[in-house]
Amino acid sequence: MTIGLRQHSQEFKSSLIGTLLVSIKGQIFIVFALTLITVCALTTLNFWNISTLRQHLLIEDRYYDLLSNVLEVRRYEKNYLLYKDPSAIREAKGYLDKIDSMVKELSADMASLTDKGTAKDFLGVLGSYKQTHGRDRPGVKAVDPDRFRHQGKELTDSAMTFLRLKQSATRKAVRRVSVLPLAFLGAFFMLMLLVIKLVSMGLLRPLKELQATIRNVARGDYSPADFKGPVTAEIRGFMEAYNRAVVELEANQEHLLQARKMAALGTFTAGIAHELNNPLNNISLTAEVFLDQYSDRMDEEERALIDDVLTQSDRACGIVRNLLDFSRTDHTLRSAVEPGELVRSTVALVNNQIRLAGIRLELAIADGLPPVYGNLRTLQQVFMNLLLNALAATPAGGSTSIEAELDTSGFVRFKVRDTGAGIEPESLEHIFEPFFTTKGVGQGTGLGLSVVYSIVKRHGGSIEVESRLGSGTTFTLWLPIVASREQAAGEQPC
Amino acid sequence: MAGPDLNVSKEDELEILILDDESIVGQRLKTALEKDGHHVEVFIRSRLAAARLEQKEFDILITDILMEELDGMQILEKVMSKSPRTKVIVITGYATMDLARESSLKGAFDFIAKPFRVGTMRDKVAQAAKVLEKERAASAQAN
Ligand SMILES: Nc1ncnc2c1ncn2[C@@H]1O[C@H](COP(=O)(O)OP(=O)(O)O)[C@@H](O)[C@H]1O
Ligand SMILES: [Mg+2]
Repeated sequence: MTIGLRQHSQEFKSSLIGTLLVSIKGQIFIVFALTLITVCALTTLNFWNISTLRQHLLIEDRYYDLLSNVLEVRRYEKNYLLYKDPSAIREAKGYLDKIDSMVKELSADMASLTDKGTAKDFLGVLGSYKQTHGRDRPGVKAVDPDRFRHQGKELTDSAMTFLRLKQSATRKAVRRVSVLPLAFLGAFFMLMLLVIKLVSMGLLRPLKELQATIRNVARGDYSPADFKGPVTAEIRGFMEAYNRAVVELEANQEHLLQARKMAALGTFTAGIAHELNNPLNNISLTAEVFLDQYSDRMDEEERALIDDVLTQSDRACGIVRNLLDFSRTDHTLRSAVEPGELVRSTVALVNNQIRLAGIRLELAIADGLPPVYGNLRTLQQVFMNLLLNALAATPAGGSTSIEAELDTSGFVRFKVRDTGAGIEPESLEHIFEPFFTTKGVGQGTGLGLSVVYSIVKRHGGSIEVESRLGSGTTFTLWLPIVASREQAAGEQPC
Repeated sequence: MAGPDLNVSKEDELEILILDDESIVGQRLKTALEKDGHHVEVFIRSRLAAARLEQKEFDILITDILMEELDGMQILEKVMSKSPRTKVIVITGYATMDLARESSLKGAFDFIAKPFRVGTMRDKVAQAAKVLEKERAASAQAN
């Protein structure tokens, strides 16, 4: 349990860092954090540099003092040696004491300026020089002036060397201080480069590609956005949202086009059908009355000719009726229709044909389905057309089925399946168009599905088709269920 | 309220007026219905038919709906107000079913959609004849 928890929290940590690294927000956060740390370090360094420099300058002053004191002592040394003035030795003593205390104070710095040996040498030289000074007392053998002078010179040289060394150390510190702003500049420059790179890689480049993709949409190319190369979380999210929108857009566009096409075809076919209606009516009336009047006086062959006129005009009338069915926009009376009753009564109409074709038909009507709101006769026509198509496509021994079940959102879903030949993918988008048929002349008019489509639309329903060549076709219909009590109560125009 | 014309008619002979701007419809129906023993007058122009309907009371009026001048609905209204006894059979184009429904609300006896068979029209006329017969019997009893 605890192990699991720890693993979980580790995972969480690594995924947090992961998300930080792949998102623009996280990358910018990391870059700024790094810059802040660098600038803090540089500032501390600068502060330290300046305080050492001040230290150097102070100590350099002390070396000046040391040198001037040494020179002072040398002056008394000269007086002593030239004028044999013993008071000079006494006065020099004061300066020597001062030098002593200074040397004590500076000894650590001296050791750091050179090495310990050189500092010690200086102390030795100073000691022997002091001894030489101290020797000049009454009764003591006089000092060797050459040696005295030599020691003094050594002392001066050493003091000057230390001063020079200190000066160069100070100069070095100054140089260090003056270089630091350049480091700031460098850090800032790096920050800028990084930010520019991040923004251009993570934002500008993908945005440019997306721009090209979106421009394609205006030309009707709905291909999804695809960016090769690393993509930040923000851009990925945007791309996913865009791709989803494009898919929806394309589907809507197709639906819209389909609906417009069907509406245009509807007006067109309605015009033709209305124009044909009267002449066809006249032909059949005339043939009928002719037969009625003169059949007694006609022989077999003459009667057969008029019969042909009648059957052919009947056939044309059937087509016109289908066209009008497809294009009609007027109201039919609607009432509550039981889905089971609807399916069974339709099947009863085509039962003979099913049996003759040697095809099995299974019904799967869910129990307790609510009634749909529609016109029984026209809905029967829908299922009849679908069933006849299924029978035509299915070879003997095959099976077909009709299912009905409650769908969400107030619709009953019907499925009319067959295990027949299936529909060519290129044909799929045309099958609902009037006169689209793959059947031979005299076999099919291509009006069945267009009538189905029109009736379903007029009922406020929808229809979809799914088909695989060689394995069968499924038509799925949604019909609205009776929504209100008034609808359930009786017939109403829709 | 039998008109004078009806009294001289034979029992099953009906006075029928057919109005359709498609002349062939009237001609063919006239042939067929006269063969059945009815008396048929055919009109192509609705104004003339309306004038004739003012003069004479018919048993049956067969009229198209969509016509120039007066349309079938106006003819129907005129006839129903002048002679409610007359049975009106409305012929309609297939796509004007709601017009047909409206006409039945206004008192039409029945409607029939183009394209139709002569036999269908004969059936409707026979039905109308039966109803007329019944009404006549009822009014005779009342008298
Ligand atoms: N169940 C089905 N299986 C295979 N093809 C079908 C099926 N239903 C319809 N089709 C195809 O759709 C075309 C149009 O059908 P339809 O509009 O009913 O006209 P028709 O049946 O007169 O050809 C048919 O010719 C056929 O190619
Ligand atoms: Mg078909």
